[in-house]
Amino acid sequence: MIIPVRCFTCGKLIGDKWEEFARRVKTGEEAGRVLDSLEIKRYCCRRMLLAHVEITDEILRFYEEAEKRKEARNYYY
Amino acid sequence: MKVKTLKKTSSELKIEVEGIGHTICNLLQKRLLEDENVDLAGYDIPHPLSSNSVIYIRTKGNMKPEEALRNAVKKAHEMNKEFSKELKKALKKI
Amino acid sequence: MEIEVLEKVDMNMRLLIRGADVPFINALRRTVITEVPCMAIDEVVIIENSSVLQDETIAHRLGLIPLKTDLDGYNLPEECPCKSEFGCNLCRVSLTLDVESKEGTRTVYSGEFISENPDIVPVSDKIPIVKLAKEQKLKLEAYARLGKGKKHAKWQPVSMCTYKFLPQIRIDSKRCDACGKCVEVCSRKVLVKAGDRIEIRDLMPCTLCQDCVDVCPQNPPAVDVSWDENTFILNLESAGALPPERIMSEAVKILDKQLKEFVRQIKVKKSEKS
Repeated sequence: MIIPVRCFTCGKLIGDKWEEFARRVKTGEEAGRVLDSLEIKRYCCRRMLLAHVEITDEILRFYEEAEKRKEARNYYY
Repeated sequence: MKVKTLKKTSSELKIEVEGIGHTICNLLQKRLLEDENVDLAGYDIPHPLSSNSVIYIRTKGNMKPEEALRNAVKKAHEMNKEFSKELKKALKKI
Repeated sequence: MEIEVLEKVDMNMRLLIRGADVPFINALRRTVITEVPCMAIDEVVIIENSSVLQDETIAHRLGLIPLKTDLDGYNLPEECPCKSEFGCNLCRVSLTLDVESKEGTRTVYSGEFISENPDIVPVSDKIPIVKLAKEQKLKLEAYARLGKGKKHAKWQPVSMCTYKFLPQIRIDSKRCDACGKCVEVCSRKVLVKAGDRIEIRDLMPCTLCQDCVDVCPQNPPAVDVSWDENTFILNLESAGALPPERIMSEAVKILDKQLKEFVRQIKVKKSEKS
């Protein structure tokens, strides 16, 4: 769903690093290097970010679309 | 912390302690075994989910097991105090 | 006993301890993980939640947020003189969150919490809690309490506390022909080739894997990896609630208290008998 707050295995805080990680990987940086610069050393924490899929965004699209439709309806009627 | 005596003779002692686990038991076992007068020392945690442990001590006969146990705790306590002192010293340097 | 701080970088600390033994260091390690208290959100009253996450999922996420802890100012709920299940100002901090997405989708961050006590706040302001679409609302009140790691991992002050023996590497320079195989195989880059010799670059990262011994073509191997059983490298990484040095000194204090209590109990037992 949304990025977990802590690493499942060791309990290190990783939630606050996701947005920077995702942004930098999207700009073409190598994921491993980004993790290194964020000082995520252990592989249990690294997989948290590497293997994460932000499904909330997909679910939120339903609400965004519904909102758009509502606006369109208000516009025509 | 609650202590219950399960068995007690002149050279044997078996106590059940509520609320301590491997942390302290293992430390005490090692300290007990360092004592020359102790023949056998061990501990058991009958159920992994409960924090009750059974400590068993057998001495060679020239010392009461309670005495040996008390010495062991004292030794562990002193080591901890020394660590605390050294830690303070080391932390001051940074 | 001798202690040296090898490294101290914000939330990490490495100690070199000489003259200790495994049961003692292990007792310390276990105490750090299970007995040192820190603060975490423990109870959440959800007033309104129209987000995509369920109430319990949000409550769980809130619980895992590390909070900056003031150990001197607060009591453990079971030791607090108020004896109330709900808690008082000495054993509970209330944090409130009231957010609504007015325009488009937005993320709610841990920094949006309003704490009763400005010292007890999330360690990081950038932890995403939930994402809200337009017109979705989240309104809640959370109560943070002190707790111990043995009850729930959210109260663990550390994300890592490990120890290892101090490695000792000996290279027999008479038999070593500096083939460099041991340098190549070492994933921690402990060894380095210096001209016609093999030298130790940095001893600390060595994991005692013995790969360099196995790969050595000499028989018996020219390199020998052993360890000092009375010297330890203790590695501590705080989750952010408390500084690592505080965690360490707190663990020592707790262990001291427990041993004292144990002595007291066996004394009581003895006086009962006689």
